[in-house]
Amino acid sequence: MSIYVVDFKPVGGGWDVVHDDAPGGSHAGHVAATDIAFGQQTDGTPDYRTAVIACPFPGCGSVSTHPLGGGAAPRSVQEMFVRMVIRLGCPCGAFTAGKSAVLTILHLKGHVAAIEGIQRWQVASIVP
Amino acid sequence: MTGTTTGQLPLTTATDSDDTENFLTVSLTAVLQSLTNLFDSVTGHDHSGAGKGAPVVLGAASVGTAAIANGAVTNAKLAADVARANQLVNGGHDVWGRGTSAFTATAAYAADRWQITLAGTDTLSVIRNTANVDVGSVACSACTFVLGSGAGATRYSQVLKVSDGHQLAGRTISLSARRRTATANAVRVGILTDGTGGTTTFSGFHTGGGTFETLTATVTVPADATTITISTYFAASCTAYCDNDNLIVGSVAADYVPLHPADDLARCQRYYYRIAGQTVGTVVATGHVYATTDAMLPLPLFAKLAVTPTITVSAAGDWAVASATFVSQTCTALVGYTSSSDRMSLHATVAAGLVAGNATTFVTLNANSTVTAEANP
Repeated sequence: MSIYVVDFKPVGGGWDVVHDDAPGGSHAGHVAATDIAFGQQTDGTPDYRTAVIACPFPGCGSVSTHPLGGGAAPRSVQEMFVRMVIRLGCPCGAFTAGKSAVLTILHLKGHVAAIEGIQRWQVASIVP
Repeated sequence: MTGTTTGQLPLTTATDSDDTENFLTVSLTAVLQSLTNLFDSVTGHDHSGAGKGAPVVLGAASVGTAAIANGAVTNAKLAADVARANQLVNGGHDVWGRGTSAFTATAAYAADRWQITLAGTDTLSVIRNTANVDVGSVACSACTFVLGSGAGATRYSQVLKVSDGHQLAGRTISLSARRRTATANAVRVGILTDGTGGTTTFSGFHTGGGTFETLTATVTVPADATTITISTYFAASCTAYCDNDNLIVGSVAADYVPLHPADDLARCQRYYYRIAGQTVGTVVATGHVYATTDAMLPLPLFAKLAVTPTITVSAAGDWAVASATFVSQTCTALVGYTSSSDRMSLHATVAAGLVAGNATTFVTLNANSTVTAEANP
């Protein structure tokens, strides 16, 4: 399925991730929320449409680039974007950090509706 | 009463014992049988049985023209072996794009489009199996299930969404699924729908006889349903083999009929597309160098995906781009850059050696090199 978050609230903090179609078989690991970044445009500025997760499993080196709509794991990826935008603000420049989950979801839902249609958004709320 | 029987028809003249009047008594059944025999002998016609309420059994080639009116044979009159279009992807569990090792995590896909959902403390391990397949099959999903606190809710499913183009809302649909297990009352299949009145409709349980059995379920999907989920449910610890699922529109479940392998693969690649297992030095893409250390590499997808995909690339060291003199420059970083439902691009970084403005080629350096595009509605 790619490298994606399976638990945003594990004991000890950070996020638990799984890489379930890794060459040689699936494996899992743990990342800090700050290890996951927005993708970059060619000029080096963050791209609000993508987020990048490097597999933390030793020796793997694989990297997943998730689209805002969710790609391989819609619920997980969309929740990841919500948490990133609450912390960092949206790289589109129109939405600052620190706003509520409800407002953040509304903002991101608008982006996704423009890219993939309104039916694509699947996250109604998140546990803070 | 005494009397005698006439010759042509079984009529009896009778005289009551207490008077002298003559009566004509009739055995109606015998009379009708005599008439039938007379009719048959004169006309050569044979309608034996039909007039007495028994099924009509037609002789070979006895319906040569329009005895059955056009459009009169309904779905309900069809037998299970009449092939009908399968709405599922990879119904035969034959395509395993993600590999053949065991899949255990909840939400993980095993066979293409078939996803694990764990309940409670249950565990389920799914692996490709070729030794215990149904007749004529290439592969099946071998499921090793251990019951915890899931109470029968753990499932191995395929989800069909209206948003993905499926047109099942408001229709009656039927599932036929071949399952094998040696544990009684452990495995059944079901159809779950959302929408008004949506619920789960189950088949009966597999008997546990150790051979493949056909489990079926039929449901009318609510008109406002957005999701239909086809599942195998596990209610007791067991090893079960899932093969040959067929979901059709209609009230009578139909046997699975395999697609041509090319069509089967094309359906799967709408959701999971993988470039892997290439020989060393395979040119996977050409691209554009825009700095001494950076190149952009567009990769068209051979199938249009269901939604914008996630791009996953294996380690940067598995790949190289070519310099102006066609010397491989091993990538030091590699990441998906953009994607859409029918194309993607990668951003490759090397230590040095490229010339801005040049073209380049993107090549594999070892057998681990993999790029996947995955789109799950």
